[in-house]
Amino acid sequence: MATYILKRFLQLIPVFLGATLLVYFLVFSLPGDPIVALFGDKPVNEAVAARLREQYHLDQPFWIQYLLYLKGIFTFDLGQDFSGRPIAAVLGEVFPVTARLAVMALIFEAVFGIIFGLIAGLRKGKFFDATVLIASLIVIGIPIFVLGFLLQFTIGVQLGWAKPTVSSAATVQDLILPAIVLGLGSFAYVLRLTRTSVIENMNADYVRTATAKGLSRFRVVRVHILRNSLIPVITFLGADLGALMGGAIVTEGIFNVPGVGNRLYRAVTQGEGPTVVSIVTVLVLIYVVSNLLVDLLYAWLDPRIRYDA
Amino acid sequence: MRFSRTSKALGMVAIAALALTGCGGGGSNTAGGSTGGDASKVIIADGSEPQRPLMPADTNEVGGGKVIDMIFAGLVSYDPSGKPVNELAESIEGKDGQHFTIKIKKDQKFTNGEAITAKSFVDSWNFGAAAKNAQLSGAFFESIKGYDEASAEGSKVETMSGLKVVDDQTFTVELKQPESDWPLRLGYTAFVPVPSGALKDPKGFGEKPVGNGPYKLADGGWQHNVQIQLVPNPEYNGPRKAKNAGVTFKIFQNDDAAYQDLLSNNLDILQTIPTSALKNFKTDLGDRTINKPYAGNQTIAIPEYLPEWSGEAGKLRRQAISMAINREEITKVIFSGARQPAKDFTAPVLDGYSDSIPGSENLKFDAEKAKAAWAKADAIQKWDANKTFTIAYNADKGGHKAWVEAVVNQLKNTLGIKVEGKPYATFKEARNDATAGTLTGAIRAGWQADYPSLYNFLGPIYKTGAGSNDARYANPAFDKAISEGLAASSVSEGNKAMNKAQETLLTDLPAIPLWYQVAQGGWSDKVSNVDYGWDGVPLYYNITGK
Amino acid sequence: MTDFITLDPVPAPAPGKGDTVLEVRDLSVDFGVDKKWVPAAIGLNYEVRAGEVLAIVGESGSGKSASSMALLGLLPTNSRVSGSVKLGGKELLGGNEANIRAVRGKDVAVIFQEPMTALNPVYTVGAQIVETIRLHNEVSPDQAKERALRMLDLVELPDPEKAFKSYPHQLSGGQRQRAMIAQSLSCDPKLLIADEPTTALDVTVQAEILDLMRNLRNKLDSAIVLITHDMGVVADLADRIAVMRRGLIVETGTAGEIFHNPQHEYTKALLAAVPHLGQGGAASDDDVDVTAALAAATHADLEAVPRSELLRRERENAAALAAADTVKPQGEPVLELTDVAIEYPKQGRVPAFRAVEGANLAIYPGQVVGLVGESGSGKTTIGRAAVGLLPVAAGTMKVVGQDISAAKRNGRQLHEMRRHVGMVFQDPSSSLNPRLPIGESIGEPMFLAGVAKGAALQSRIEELLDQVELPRDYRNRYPHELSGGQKQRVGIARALSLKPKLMVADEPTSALDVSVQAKVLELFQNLQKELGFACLFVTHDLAVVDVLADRICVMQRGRIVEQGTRDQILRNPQEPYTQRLLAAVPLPDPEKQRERRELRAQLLSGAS
Repeated sequence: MATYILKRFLQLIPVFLGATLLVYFLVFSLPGDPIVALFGDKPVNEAVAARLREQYHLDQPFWIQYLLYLKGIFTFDLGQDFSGRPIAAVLGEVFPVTARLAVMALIFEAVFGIIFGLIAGLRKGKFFDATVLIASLIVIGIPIFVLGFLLQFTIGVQLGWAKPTVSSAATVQDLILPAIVLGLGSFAYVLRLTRTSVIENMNADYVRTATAKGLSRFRVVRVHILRNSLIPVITFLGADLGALMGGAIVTEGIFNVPGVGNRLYRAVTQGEGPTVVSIVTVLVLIYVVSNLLVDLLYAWLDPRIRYDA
Repeated sequence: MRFSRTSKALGMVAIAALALTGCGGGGSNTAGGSTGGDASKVIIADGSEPQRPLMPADTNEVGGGKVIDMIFAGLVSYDPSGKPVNELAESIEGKDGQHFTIKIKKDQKFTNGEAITAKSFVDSWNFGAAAKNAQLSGAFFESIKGYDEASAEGSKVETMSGLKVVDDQTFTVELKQPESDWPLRLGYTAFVPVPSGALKDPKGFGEKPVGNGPYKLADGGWQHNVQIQLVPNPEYNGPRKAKNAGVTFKIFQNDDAAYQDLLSNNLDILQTIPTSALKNFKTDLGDRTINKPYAGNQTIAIPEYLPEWSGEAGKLRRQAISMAINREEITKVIFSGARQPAKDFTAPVLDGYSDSIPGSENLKFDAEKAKAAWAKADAIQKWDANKTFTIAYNADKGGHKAWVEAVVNQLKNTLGIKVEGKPYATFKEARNDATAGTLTGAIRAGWQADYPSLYNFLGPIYKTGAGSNDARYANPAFDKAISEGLAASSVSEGNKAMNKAQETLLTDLPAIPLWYQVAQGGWSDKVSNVDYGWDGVPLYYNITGK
Repeated sequence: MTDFITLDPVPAPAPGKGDTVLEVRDLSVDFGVDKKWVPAAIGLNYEVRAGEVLAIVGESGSGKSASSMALLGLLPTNSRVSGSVKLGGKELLGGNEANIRAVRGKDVAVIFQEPMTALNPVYTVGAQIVETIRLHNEVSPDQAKERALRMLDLVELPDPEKAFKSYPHQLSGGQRQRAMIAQSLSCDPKLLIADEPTTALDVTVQAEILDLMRNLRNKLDSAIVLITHDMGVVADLADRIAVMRRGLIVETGTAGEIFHNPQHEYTKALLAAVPHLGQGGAASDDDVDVTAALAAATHADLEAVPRSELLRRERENAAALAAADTVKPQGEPVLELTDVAIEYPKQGRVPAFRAVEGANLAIYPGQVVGLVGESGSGKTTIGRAAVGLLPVAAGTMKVVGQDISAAKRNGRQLHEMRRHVGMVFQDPSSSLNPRLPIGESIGEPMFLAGVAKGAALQSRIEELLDQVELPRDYRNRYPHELSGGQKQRVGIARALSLKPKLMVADEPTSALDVSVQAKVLELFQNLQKELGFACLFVTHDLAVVDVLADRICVMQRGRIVEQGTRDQILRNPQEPYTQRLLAAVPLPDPEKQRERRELRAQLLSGAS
């Protein structure tokens, strides 16, 4: 097992190199000169532009830029963004916020998705099931920004139960509404996944065995149906953590969350290569590590799965 | 002009019915004079994250500009109507429009206690101009003698020969050539003085700027991407004295979020109502809105380097295009009356503005004359019927698509040629083609004044070889008229000359003026005394609690 | 703990003499299908006494399983149960849920058909047994564990400690079924319902489980309801038999009555359809006395048969073997394997796995070779390699005269070869394209091979349908409109369409009901005689091989351990494995099965 984990961690190296190279290349290929854009409609002062290009290595060919960036990483210097701040500091500001948001969204979708999915599955074809199914379809069908604006307006503006945007500290309380919006789509998936899985497992032979053993309905559900049903759900949730962090961009925009998505959007529009690459790379690493965790969790939940080195 | 400001202003497409007519000053409060109100209120305003460190000469966009403007004071500031008012200046004198003597008030200090002297100004301006410091707004010093030497690429010269300290309170400025409106520019943020520490460590200073304005940055007040907290500077005694307990710029990526915040009173003032809310904001906010023209306009630049737009035929075609656009209709239908059809190349809030400059009839919709002009051009040089005339715009912000499409349709209908909107994904890309001179058709251009002067709308854009001359327009007659205006002995004389120069422009039409910008903002029910300046930015210092 | 069974041997009571444990009266089960009630069982009446095994026999759809699940309320919610079920005089039906739940697992335990899926895969075997014990008994976890270990020991699992800690997937099928039985018996049930307990198991494992159940019945004096379709299993275990057909019990009686003097037509037909080892083909009258053959081969004496009688039967058997015509095969072999090894290629991180080693085999024109073995023996692997679906790792394999050992995957050579080889698969449902009418399925190989087109193709399809005895108008039907047996006929027709020289049939009848299986086998045999193709018939079922095969190859763990003519293998098995395999096949005749069982016991004790 240890070897397996080590091996998976070693796999991070090519993933890291590939991701940085690819993203760096994509940013590099973005049309338009970011330094020219800094001047707005103003006449470009070539002397100033030249200094700035030099400062951000934008006067170098792609490979040199990329290698300089890599060199920076190995000397723990990610470079600076256009406002002259170390990118490492920028990452340190935005990632905790988005991580908090994503984890809250994950908890929301996991807890409610599993509970609703379980109940719907157990009451397959009944009123609750039908209602929840239709509701989840609607949630999946409506784009997240529509839902976001809708909830922001009704709950935030009209009812005043929550602030429509997060405060400067982006506290847990501030993030409840954004987290719900962020997790809503996945909540519907978790719900449907759990439901399908529960229905499948309800008809499984071992559930019949469990019933035949004389177990109460509650215990059959809790011990024999739920755990088995959660295996695919856990896989989804794990993979979703990375997706939530990367996909928070829309939600962060709606609720003005000072997180990864907002900063990334700005970096992309401004053509701040190193900032974009650094953020995306961290996202990729989070994605890979969360997938590794899922695989380990998977093995723990399902003893049939064993990883050999 | 700063693009970002323009884009914000241009976001106000399709504004709900606020008639242009006579509603100029729109707001519920009058400018200047305070009507009382709670001075202990901290005003929460919308802002955006500054793109560069907060160095005055390195800031050229709205996010940082607003802050710099409030934490620094220069020689002059502009009153709400755009008239310069002395702040640090005791007097600015110059008879020939080329040599100025500037005296500054005594006992002025930065908030760190450092005295502000003539040297502070000279050092700050030299710093801003010197190439080695790579300050984005360095070009604002270009009129000063010695700028070219200091700003040349790789230059070792760090001072401009035109600046001389006379004594602690006096310095002189010599310009390269006469520019009668030069003193008007001194209210721009690039001209403010910075403490000596800023010049030694600009980056560190940019994180925690120390100024002399009506406000100062609170301790740890710049939380990046989150907010910028300003508190009143008790030592400030100029015309912009803070009437509240501070201004906090909450940073928004998204205007819609800011609007929701405004609706629920989490935000006190929103500078620009987002496009999506234009339909409802009057209902949502009642009388807590403002609708006020400011020094900005919108044009379509048509590069003369394209063969079919050059020469006499090109000129006729541009006139035809201009007359084929029904500005009244678009400002009414698309902007719900919240733009004013352009009558010249400047803006109506400016001193010297005239709506009846000879040639302004070319900006009036007249289908018959347009067709005739087009036909005349065809007689000189045949327009290829398969050719598509494109109007480029940036699709990332500003909401230009709607009006570009409307213009496209009008041109198609009136002139019977193929016309298309050409969206650029980002502003960056659009600027790239414009500056590189690789446009393949027309491009939308907006201009917002950096300082309240007619010249600012003309010289930097249409003078031969000017930096923002996207159309690559070159007409010696225009250049000459501009030079005469700059050399005029008074501002009003200068204005006359500028409008004379506009006559040439109105015939040549290197760009086609469309409409003037109008600021549309709103505020919460917790504040009062809201008014906007000549530049479309709220007068934050004047806002009070209720 | 007082309820717990003792592990000391208890003298077996005379069967059927105990108290009545279960009394079923007018039991009916209906399923709601499309808002209509469809009966699955109608007015069943039976009772089971302590220490008695009641076998409920029937084919699929007879209602035997549904009616038994109804006893404990284990049916899905779309069902309706009426009548009376009394356990020890106490009514189970119509009571509240808690009532029946208290009975489940404690008084009535169930063993299900699929040991693979009947245990929860995510918990250890021990945890699941402990769960049952602690549910019904107030004991500490340690006591429960101790008890569970004793149960695992009782069901003769070799290493109870290890089994306790194992997850279901870590055990073999037989071990899992033992664990399942251990769990069922852990609370000393008065009644055990065994639903096809051995159907999914290999024949030798089946014999062991049946032995185990018999021993437990004797030891524990439980009543057992055995639900099965396998008359051999019935003969081995049942005291009394109820035959079900289409929801009705058509006949009940003691084992002797049913096997020797069946009254109902259906019972007779069912018994006639059961192939039993040694019976030979449909047209054959030369019954092989396998018991005698085994006795002779192992020099055994049987209590059940007088020595003189046994010796007579052994002599008879030897004479028959000597008399059997040893026809020399003619012509070139259609399939020839020389020292063949077959590997499943490496897939990702799963290393290559050698499934067959050193196989030598030849099939001559017109010959049917039965390849038998238990699961994992490599028999299917050889079948797949013979049609080029798996590469040959070593040795040479010649098919229809061509050496395909080195043939490229999906190459021209294999393509050519496959035109001469027909294939019939185990699962008729999944091997037919559900979106094609069966006429097209049959015609497809001919069309693709370009042998027939248009009208010629149509008439050939009709001819093939005739040959497999399906009405011609079936050509326009879709697979889901056909029964399992009909689908397998279509499969055979398709395999025959190119007039193959070699037919590879992989368990073609094992998914079918007994009576259907008999008809399909008969058809197959007639076709083979008529068309004269050579055939490699892969199966786990010795009785089926006996019906069809000229020669028999016995495989074990990737090797062919013994091969010879049918007579050589059945009358004079030499290899211990062959002997064990033959002895494990239950005979659908209680007396003969008793002989066989005794013989097997001797074989196993001799071997150990």
